[in-house]
Parts: sequence; structure tokens; C-alpha cells
Amino acid sequence: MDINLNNIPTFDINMDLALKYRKTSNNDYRNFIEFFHATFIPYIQSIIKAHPEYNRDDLEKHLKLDITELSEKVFSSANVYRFYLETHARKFLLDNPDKLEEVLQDVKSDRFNSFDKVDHSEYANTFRGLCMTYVLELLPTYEDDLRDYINELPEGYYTQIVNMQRAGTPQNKIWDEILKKYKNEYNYTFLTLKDFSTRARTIIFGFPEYLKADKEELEKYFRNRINTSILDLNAQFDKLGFTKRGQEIRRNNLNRLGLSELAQKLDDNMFSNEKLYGAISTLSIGDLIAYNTFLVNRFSKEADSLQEALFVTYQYELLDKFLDPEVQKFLKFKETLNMHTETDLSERYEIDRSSEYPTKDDLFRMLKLLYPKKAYSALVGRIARLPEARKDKTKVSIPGLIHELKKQYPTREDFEKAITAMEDFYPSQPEVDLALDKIAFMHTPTKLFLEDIQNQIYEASSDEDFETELSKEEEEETFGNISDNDEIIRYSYRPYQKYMFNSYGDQYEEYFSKQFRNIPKYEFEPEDKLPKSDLKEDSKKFLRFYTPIYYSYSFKNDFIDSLIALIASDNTISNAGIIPSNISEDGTYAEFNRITGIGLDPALTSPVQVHTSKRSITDFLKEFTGTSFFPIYEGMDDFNGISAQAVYPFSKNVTKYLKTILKSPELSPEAQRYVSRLYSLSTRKVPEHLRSTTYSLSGKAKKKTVFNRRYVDLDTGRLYHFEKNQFVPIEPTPISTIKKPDEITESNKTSNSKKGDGYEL
Amino acid sequence: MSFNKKELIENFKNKNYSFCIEMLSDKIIDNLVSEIKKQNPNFEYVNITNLKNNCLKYLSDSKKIIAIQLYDYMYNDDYSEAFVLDNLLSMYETLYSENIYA
Repeated sequence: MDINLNNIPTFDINMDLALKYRKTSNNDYRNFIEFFHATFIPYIQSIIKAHPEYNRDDLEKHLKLDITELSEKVFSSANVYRFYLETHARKFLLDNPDKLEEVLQDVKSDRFNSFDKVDHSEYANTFRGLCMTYVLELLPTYEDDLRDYINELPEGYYTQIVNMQRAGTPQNKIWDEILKKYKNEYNYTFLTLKDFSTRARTIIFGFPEYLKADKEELEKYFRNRINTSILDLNAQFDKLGFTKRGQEIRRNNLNRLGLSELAQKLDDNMFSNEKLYGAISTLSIGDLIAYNTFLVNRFSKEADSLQEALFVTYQYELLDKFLDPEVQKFLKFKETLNMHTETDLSERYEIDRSSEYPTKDDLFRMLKLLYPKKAYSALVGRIARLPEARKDKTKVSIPGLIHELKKQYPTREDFEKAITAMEDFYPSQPEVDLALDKIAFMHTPTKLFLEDIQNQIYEASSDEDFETELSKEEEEETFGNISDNDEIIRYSYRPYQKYMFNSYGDQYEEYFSKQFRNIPKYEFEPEDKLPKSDLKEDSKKFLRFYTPIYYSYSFKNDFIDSLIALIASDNTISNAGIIPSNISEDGTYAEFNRITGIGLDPALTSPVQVHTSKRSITDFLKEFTGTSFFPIYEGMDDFNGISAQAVYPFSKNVTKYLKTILKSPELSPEAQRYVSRLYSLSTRKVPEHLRSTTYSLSGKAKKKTVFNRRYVDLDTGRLYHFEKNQFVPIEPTPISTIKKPDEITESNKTSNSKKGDGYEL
Repeated sequence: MSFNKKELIENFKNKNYSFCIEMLSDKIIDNLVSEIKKQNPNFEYVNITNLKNNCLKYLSDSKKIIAIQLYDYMYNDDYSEAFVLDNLLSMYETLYSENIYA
């Protein structure tokens, strides 16, 4: 397998790009540190706890297997959308007989009479291409089955059908007569009524009937498939600590709104995988798609951090240090400390941890706080300063807490050892920055390599034509314990390593050695004590960690297309659509950012939002519906600042609780809106504040029942209502009568969220 | 391959980066489409994924890279507007110089 992309950017250009990306990226040192301590270390700890016998190599092997498994699960979960789009291809062809006819003509023509010709033609990766591939796939089985069906019908039936067809009898009439005849003549032991019906209807109605049956089969398959995907990803989220991290973020956000009890209820709403299976079985296809989308999309964000943490771990050879007894002692202590102090304090006293400690990582914070000389007084003083502690002494006994701490408290010597160990294993900011520079440097070539691999797989006419070039070592070390999945094709990382080394080998090593030398800590260290910059090894590791992220992104077009298909054709999610960055003052035009949001309100504990370009939405929409009209997602501001985290279906308890606090006068208007929206998700009803008031003829206000959706023509930005089966431009609101945002309660509000203001996945 | 430079500069000055990005993306897409058409006259733009795949099939390495990056910028929200705009300008420059000297 040769890398085709020989002409990729030089070292200098690529490094320039990497540094530019790092400079403007949100993924800075602080995000990394936060993830490293709050999520990554607990994940490593959970492995060590489950396998106390592990040495460094065992731990490394375990991590490799975890990442490979993760890649597989993400690949399968992202690939699920292809099946959903295929169900739409079937529906589209059934609903549009003229399009079906066009496709049938196309696939029978010399230009497109095989999958390869379609897949490698100008229709590759288009909805039209999907329809063509599907028809090509179905036609041979249809022809075979048709022959069997004719033979399997009782004697005389087929002749009668043909005679009636020749006589020009309408299809429905033929079916009525044939069915009547069968019911009169047979006792159904020869062919059950269902089997007879399948055969006779296919013969009478032809290919569309066959297509319909196939669509129903695929819909059943898809439902099972997406259920599995959700359960698999949920299990991965739990294992890697993403769920716990999500809960913490949500808790902080809800505490800010004064909704700590709700945060607790939502934490209690967690489902084990067994229970989740039952809970998702009641969800609609739309809800399931939204759920899977949340998980895949959330994953791609968390996986970036996981990749960085893993890379830094290897860069600074931290695996040994994680296993060091001193570090272990320290980490266990920290865990206990967290369990008994930080968590308790945060929950009981509603401490907003993020604002209390804006930048420093909790580890050193804890050390500082508990350093022997000042430990007790510092802690007691801190607790005493909290107003809630004085208000409600029944919730926690401070002396009890101190007593608890005392039991866990290590000696001064323990602390000194632990600090030394931690400082040693804990990379400082310039070190982390350099590792992140390396990661950014490898982004572009890795993407090119993976794209190239995908293209080669795609171009190969069969799996066998694609040479994986896996070495025995690779097969054993990485894939030994992973179950077979026939959707997945494995390939070797060696060509990538070779290509990276040949392109940048010396420059990479020279550049980073020099950079490390600039860090005071390494200034006088001998060469072999500098962190390694072996491009072959670094690139291999990066590729392994990056692969699951690549899969989550490379299928993004499929999941965006699926969401558009869902929103354009399924009414089960009443509030779903695009999120404008701004709406003109007179309410007639919408504007959009470079990357805009698609929002959905499923029956889950949070709405789901994904980001993509307006163009990607418009392109698919035009192919799928023939227009560029798309609904607006309403009420975005209700979730301002509350991100989608640890999402699950609603339990009865949460719904009940939401109902009880819905009208609570103690809630701030912001909290009230949030609760109202969340309650509406659980009941699948659009909340009152998003509905418009309808008026009786006498002019008196009637109850608010109408959710008057707005649509935007994405080509022009013009806003419309959909009335009497057509899009009607929204009349400009006279500027003088436009209400201030606070006054808008009776009608649809102008969504005015900028990206980054609202909840993000 | 030319466009209203004045409009671009005007919007750039007003920090309307989204507009500039859209404008440059459109131009880059137009250029890639016309390059593919030279190899496959039946080709019409449908979506960015399809465009990327056809670039990988028909075009030179530098244009393949442009197509892959363009796809990335259409779907990935990790990049800042400034970063995307900066790179789109480089991509436009590459395509422009290749066209001049081709």
C-alpha cells in the first residue's frame, strides 16, 4: 500500500499551520489539565484498581486495547447513520415514483450497471447515488424472488393476474379479486394469508411493493442497530469517565441557577446499561437518532482531550509513575479526599467549583489547602466562611468531617514524597504545550493518511482487494482481544510511520529537542534525559489515539444528513431546526455563523445540538426536498449556558419532580424557563412560552396552543411561516412595536444566540 | 477565478469573517468543480463530501489537500474563524497560482 499523497506540506509549512491552529484553538493548557485530573487519572486508576498485578507493559497493552475497542465502537456507532439514510432512500423512491423510474433507467444504462460504477462516479456520496446503489442491490434479489413467487402461487393465479394486467385492469382491482378468490378457495394451509399476500402483491404491484417490504425490514434492523450503538457508546462513556465528567459540569451549571436538587435528581436518573435498554425501547426513532448523535458528537469532543492525555502520558513516560507505590498512595488519598470533602462540600454547600477555582488544577489546590502546617485551620476557616454552613448545620457535622479527614490524613513525610512524585510525573505548562504542539503538528498529515486509506478501501472493489499490510506483531498487540466486526477493515500503521519519518524525521527531532532544551528544567540535562522526540514512535501513538476521533468526524456528513432527513420528514420531534446567529429587527431575515447549530428537542434530559456549516445543510436539503427551506429551532436562549451533559431518557421521578417545581416562586426567571423547557422535553409538548396566542373572533385571548414554526430559506435568509401547504413570507414587524426581549412572552421569540453562548455538545 | 475583491476587503474590515469565509469557500469550490469537469464533464457539484471524493480521484495532490481541508472546515467546529479564513486565503492563493502557471 503506497501513500498517494506524496506532495503534502513540508515540515515548515506544517509546523506553521500547527502553531497557528494552537494559537487560535480553544484547547489550551487549562482545558487539558482539567481533563487530565478530573477524568484521565480516575480512568487510569480504575484500570489499576481492577488489575493490581499490572506492570507498565500490562498497563500499556490494556490502554491500547481500550483505544482499539473505542475506535471500533465509534466507527460502528457513526456508521449507523448510513442505515438510516438508506431507509430514507427507500422512502424517497416510494414517495416519488418518477424519481424511482429515473433511477431504474439510470441503473440499467451502461454507465451505471454496477455498484462500482455508481460508487466511483459523480454520484458517489450523494443521496441520488445512495438510491442508485440501493436499487442496484435490490434488483437481482427482486428478480430472483419474483420467479420463486410466481412458482409458489397456487395454480392458475399467476395466469389470471397476467390476463387481467393485459386487459388493463387497475392494480388495486386485480389485488381485490385475487385476494377474494384466495380467501374463498383455500384454507390457508398451503400458503398463509401473509405469505400469499407478499407473493401476489409483489407480482401485481411490481418493484415498489418489494421495495416497501424491504424498507420495513430495514427499519426494524435500524432500530436494533441504533439501540446497540447507544448502549455501546454509553458503556464507553462510563468506562472512560466521560459520564462522570458530564455530571460534574451539569451540577456546576445547575447550581448556578439554584437548581442543585434538580442536579441531584438528574444524577440519580443514571441508567445502567441493562436498564437503559428498557428505557430507550420506548423512544421514537427521532429520539434515538438525537440520542446517538449526542453520544457520537460528545465523544468527538471528549476524545480530543483523551488523545492529548494519552499522548502526554507517553511523551513524559508517565505509565511507570502511575504505577509507582508513592504516587498510588497519593492518588488513593486524593480520591478519598475528593470523596469526603470536595464532593460533599460542592453538593451540600452548592459550591461552584469552576468559579471558586478558576484556573489551578484541583490536585495542587488540595495539596496547598491541606499542607500539614495549615491544613486543619485552613479547612475549618474555609468551611466557616461558607454562609450555607452557618445556615444549615444539620446537613453536615464539621467536626465529623475533620475527624474523617484525620483518619485519612497522611504523615508529613507521605506528603513530601507524594509532592515530589507528583511534581515529577506532572508535566509543567511549557512541557504540556510542547506536547500539544506535537499533536497539532501531526493533525494534518494524519488526516491525509486516514482519508487516503478510506479512499483506497472505497476504491477497492472488494475487501480482498485492499491490502491491509498488518504485521503479525500489530495483529497480536492491538487486536488480539477484540471481537470480529465485519464492517471494520483493519490496516497497518507502518506506512504512515514510514511516510512521516521519510518526510520530516530529522527536522522533527531537531525542532523539538531544541524546544525542550529551552525549558529551564531541561537546560543542563544530557541528551538522553530530554523527553523523546522519535517521530516514528510519536506518529504511531498519535495515529492510534486519533483514529476514533477521525471516525467520529468522518461520518459527520452522514449524521448531519440524517438529522436533516429526520427534521424534514418526521414530526415526532416538534421543535427542531437550524439556530440563527441573529434575526433582523423586523423579524424577516436570519443570519448564520460559519458553523451553525442544528437543535432538536427529543424526549431526553437535554436538547441536542450539533454544529455544521450552513452549506452542508443546504446541499443535502436541496437534494432531499428540492428546496432550501428549513425550520428554525426555537427557544435556544432557554438553555443559555447549560450544556448537554450525561444525557438519559427521563425517569418518572425526574418528570414528577420537574412538575412539582415548575411553578415554584423561588425559581429565578432563568431557572423557571430552563425547568419549563426540561419538563416539556419529558412530556413531548412544546412549552407555553414558545407558543403563540390565538384569538377568538371577538378579540379575546384564547388558550395558547399554537406552535407557529418559522422556516428560513437558507439561500436568502428570508423567514417564512408554513400556511395552507405553502411557505408564506413573514410580514415585517413595525420597528416601533417590537418588544424588548423581556417583554416577549406571548409569541415566538427571536432566537438570538451566538455560537458559544448556548449549550454545546 | 476572480471575485469581488472590494466586497471581500470591505467585509474583512468590518470583521464579518463568516461572510468572507463563505465567499472564499464558494470560489474555491467553483475552481475545484471546474478542474474535475476537465476530467469528467458529467460532474456537477452536489455536496462537499462528493466534491472531496472526486478531488481525491481526479486532481493533483495539492488540490486533494485543499479538498480535505475544505471538508474539515465545513463540518468541524474546532477551528476559529480567523484560522479558517487565513487558511482559505492560502488555499485560494495556491489554486490561483496553479491556474496562472498551469
